[in-house]
Amino acid sequence: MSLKEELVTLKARLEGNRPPEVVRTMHRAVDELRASGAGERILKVGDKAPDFALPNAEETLVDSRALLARGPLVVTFYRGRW
Amino acid sequence: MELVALQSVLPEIIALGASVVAISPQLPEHNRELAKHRNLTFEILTDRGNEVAGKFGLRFALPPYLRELYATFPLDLAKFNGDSSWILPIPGRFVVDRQGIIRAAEADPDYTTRPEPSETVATLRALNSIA
Repeated sequence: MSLKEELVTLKARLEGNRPPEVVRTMHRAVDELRASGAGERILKVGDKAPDFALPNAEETLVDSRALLARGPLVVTFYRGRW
Repeated sequence: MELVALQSVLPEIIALGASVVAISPQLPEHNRELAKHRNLTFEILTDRGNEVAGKFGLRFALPPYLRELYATFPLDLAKFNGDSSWILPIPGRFVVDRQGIIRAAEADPDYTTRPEPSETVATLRALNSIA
């Protein structure tokens, strides 16, 4: 199963377990975020990526410049494990 | 789930000379647990206050009615993130080349959509072939 298919399955399961008004509220938030033009602020292909140095799970600082010196870098932003 | 999917293509990514980092406001102790439970071997970084997410244009505050809703879920964001700001990143994935230029960017306010890891691998492969 592709990630997209897994996510569609997960979404159906999560939303199926919740009252319709709760699901509506969650959809409203997504729609409003989209309508707010939030997407236009997001960096695009061709933009310079900001450098960063952040602590990893062992609280050791990881510097994006050190990683880029070795090769390309995939940066994924996620919301949390919850 | 997305991180597990990324982990599954990590050998290919490493073979292409690239690295992966995942960024969230979640505190290192929770990232340690996450890495252990899901067998994640790439770096999972803590972005306190979503400062870096902000630089990528991904920072947003949950609207008040959604905070109220989340407050009814068994979910303690303040515990995970070490603050009660209700500010989160829009999920997104970027491929950055060695010169620091973004070569692929995908982000969607709908947190239930994500780019396929295979697309990320394809971008890296294309980068390698022109490098």
